[in-house]
Amino acid sequence: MIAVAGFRRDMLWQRFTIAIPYLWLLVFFLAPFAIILKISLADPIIAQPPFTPFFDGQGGVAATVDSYLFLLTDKLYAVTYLKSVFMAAVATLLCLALGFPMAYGIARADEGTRNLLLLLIVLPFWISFLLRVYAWMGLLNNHGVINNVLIWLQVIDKPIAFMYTDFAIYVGLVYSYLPFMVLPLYATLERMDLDLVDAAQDLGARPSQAFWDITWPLARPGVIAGCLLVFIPAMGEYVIPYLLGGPESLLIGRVLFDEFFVNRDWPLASAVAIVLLLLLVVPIVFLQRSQARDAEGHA
Amino acid sequence: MLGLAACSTDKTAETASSERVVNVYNWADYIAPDTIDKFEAEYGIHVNYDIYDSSEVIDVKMLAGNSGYDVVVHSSQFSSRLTPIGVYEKLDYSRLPNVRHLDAEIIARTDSYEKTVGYSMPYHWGSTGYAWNVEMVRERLPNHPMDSADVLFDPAVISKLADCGVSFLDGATDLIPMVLAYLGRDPNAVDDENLAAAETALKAVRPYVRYFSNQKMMIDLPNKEVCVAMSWSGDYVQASRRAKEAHIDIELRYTMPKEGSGLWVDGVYMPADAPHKDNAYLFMNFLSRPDIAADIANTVFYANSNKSAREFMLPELLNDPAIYPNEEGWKILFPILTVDPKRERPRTRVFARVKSGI
Amino acid sequence: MTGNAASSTPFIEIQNVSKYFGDFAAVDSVSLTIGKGELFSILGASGCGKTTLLRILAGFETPSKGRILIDGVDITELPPYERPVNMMFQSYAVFPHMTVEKNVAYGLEKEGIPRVEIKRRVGEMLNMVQLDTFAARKPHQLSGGQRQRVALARALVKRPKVLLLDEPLAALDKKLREHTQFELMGIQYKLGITFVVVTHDQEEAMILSSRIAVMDKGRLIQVGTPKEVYEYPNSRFVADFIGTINMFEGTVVGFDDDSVRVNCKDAGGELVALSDAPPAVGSPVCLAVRPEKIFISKHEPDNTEDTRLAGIVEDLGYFGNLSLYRIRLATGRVVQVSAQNSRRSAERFLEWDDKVFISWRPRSAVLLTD
Repeated sequence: MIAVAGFRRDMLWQRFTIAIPYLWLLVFFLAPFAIILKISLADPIIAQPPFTPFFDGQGGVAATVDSYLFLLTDKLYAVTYLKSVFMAAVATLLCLALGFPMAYGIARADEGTRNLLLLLIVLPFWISFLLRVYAWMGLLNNHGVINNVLIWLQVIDKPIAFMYTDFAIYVGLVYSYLPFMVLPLYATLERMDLDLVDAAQDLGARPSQAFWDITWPLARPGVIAGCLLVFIPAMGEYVIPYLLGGPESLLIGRVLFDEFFVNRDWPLASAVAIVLLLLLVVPIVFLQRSQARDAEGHA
Repeated sequence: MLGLAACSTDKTAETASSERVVNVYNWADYIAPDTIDKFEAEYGIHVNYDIYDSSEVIDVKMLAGNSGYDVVVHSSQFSSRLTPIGVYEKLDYSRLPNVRHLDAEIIARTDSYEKTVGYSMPYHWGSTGYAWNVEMVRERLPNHPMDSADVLFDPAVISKLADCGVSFLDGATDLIPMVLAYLGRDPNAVDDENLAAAETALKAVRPYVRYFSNQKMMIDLPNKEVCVAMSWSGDYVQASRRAKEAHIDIELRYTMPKEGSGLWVDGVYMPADAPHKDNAYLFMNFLSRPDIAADIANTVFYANSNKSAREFMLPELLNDPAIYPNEEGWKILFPILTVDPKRERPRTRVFARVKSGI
Repeated sequence: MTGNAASSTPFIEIQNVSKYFGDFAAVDSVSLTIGKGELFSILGASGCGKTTLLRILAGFETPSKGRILIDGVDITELPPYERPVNMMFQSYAVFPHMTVEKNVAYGLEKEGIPRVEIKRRVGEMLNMVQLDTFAARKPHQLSGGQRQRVALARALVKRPKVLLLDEPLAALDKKLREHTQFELMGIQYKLGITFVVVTHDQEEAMILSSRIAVMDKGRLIQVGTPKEVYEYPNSRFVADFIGTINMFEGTVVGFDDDSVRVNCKDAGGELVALSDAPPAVGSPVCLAVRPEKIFISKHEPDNTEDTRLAGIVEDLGYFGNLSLYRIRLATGRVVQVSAQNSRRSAERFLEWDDKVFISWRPRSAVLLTD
């Protein structure tokens, strides 16, 4: 009898623990998603709240896909989505190109140095994100530190316009999101058996071949995790393009802001958000499948 | 769940009025440093003071409702749209005795927003123009009159200033009326033909505009990162003060373009769902007390509509035609009206296309 | 099994090789010649420099001084991927993301060998290590022993001139060790490839090797066949490191023909050992005797040529095939003795605290000066 009761309690506990992540997903992802989806299917009106109700009051549903159709008709959206994807992708690749050697170096450093380097990677998080972006404005301005030093060194005689360009946005994105690339890469590289690379060279692989045959495929989970951690927030980034970018750097984050705040068109803003989410779900699904494949390979 | 939330808000609203608290929402840098302290000392009511940096942000908070604020300062142009849908409380002016200090003449001149009548108490008002750095501009345009919007909208002129930096205000409601006025058109027009004309004119000067912002030029003017900044009256004084604090020696001036300058008016409002209405009345009335209104005006360097406050106000403020326009100035000023919401998007689109080049 | 390898022509020549990490000499002036087809072991405790020496042979470390020749060719400056040498790592270092077949084929692909030949050679090799049915598996689906065979096949398929093995048996359990030990010897015999094994396990070295090099603190202490190293250690270190030994410190007091008389305080008197290069009178030496060379009896033996000492049984242990005794001498010194249990007896031959005599022949004792 006692054994049976204990068994039941275990089952309950097990079900409860399994339910937690689902509950989390439901409360913090699916519920807000449902609300946004509902708003995206409404019509904008001047009222409080500024959109038509989903239920028409007579038991029916008043939904419209006008907002989605509008996304298709005005090329502004397609262009900014593409520009956002492009800039986020370039920033991600830059982070990868910079972050991989950094993570590799940290993973191969001796323990004392490694902890110091990891601390340095995490250190910027102790300062507000906004302050750090502002600091870049001070560096990149026409009369900023970089231009002043270059002029003083007589490398240039007129300031270079770094600010308010795509270049400045890339600097901001790469600077802000590099740690999110380095940390997961470090985690995978640090676990990697160094003998594997030696073994590849022993079997006749040049160092570059050993890298692409061994290190790179084994680092792939870290590469994918790092790329997603950079790409997803960079895609919807609002502050960095707003502060560092020029007006021609119209990204989807700004479009969403404008629809919501300037045009007060909540349904359209919600539709923009839903489409953005779908664009982000594609790489996540890709990651899921790839990780499932890896899990199969290392279980 | 929503029902439950509504219930509990009602309940707190009842008890809240007895709390010695008032929640205020205002523009950044739009009050005197000691105003809050003085009010708290006098009335024993704690002020929760919160600030915003764009009309759009407060507008959306008001639209969403349940903001929790008791007193908000908001553009009367934006508020014209919010008032009819019941966002604001209709004011009982008998509880705001200090409105007797208001200047009827100025009220008559500035109050072009009839929908807000009965709901607002005047705060500050001003014009839209451009601030410019005398030394930097004169280096490039030694003899240009600098009284026209051609500095912003004529490619032949603005192109000479592109290297020292020209910034535009970041909002369709400020920029498009001004360019329409420059083109000799109705500044508040939103029909396709007028918007197309504005777009063509703006695209022609777009290459010479460094950025669009309502805030950045307040740092960049003193730092000489820009030499001409489309801005609101009073901004140039604040920028000059910042330059002085940083020991940067510059001379800034402000021009209301002779072709037309948009008049903006800010009012003090009480949200209909304000939890501490009694305290809100006390605070609103306090803002209109002549000495307090003068303190604020002396700090923010914008014009107010308070006649009795003038005796406490700085002469350089009262006598600055950039802030208190003379008769010539009044002729230039045009009100920025609320447009048909259906036409809001086409106007925003024009602005977005100009900005992004898409 | 490989005959007297020491006399065959030198195949690997390590000439005065040193490796410094900062001030620390991981390998200190090592010179060594290994013959073709030898199964050569480098034996030492951890940190003695044996792994560094192996990594120098593989090309992962460049020596600070000295040269290395294989088959007459100086390979000192060659990178690992150009050396005719392959290594089996202690961790096996089997590529986790490749199948068994891919792992084995990897080295051949890097050589640019035609696909068909790769397939044939990989098949042959997998067959030899009995992994042909596991070709499509990933390493995580294999046991430790199978992974080791992948590592071995992967190295051997390259037909290296020399195969380096880093602690090849350390990760295996006892049963598998013995099996693998003989399997390795069999493969080595069949292919005739020179094996260089690094190990800390003296037993493993004894069984596997044609010759053993004992290392300590970066230096080579003794090189010889297992028998030489065991029976005729050249130093206290080697004597102590390989097997168990009783060592009596003392001074040389005189000579009788070919025997040396040593005064050992521990033993309570003079002990005798044979030596062809006797040290001078008065020099400090060590007289060492293996436990199995010592006889134990209840009565004093008659043979007066033998060294005889009296003591009591302090401790004893029964290990089935043999028994171990700890005998305390009158001086307090404890001597270890082992004896074959050749007789099956219901009662024990000796008990605790029994008075006994131990004895050994003069030629059983080794005289150590280093």
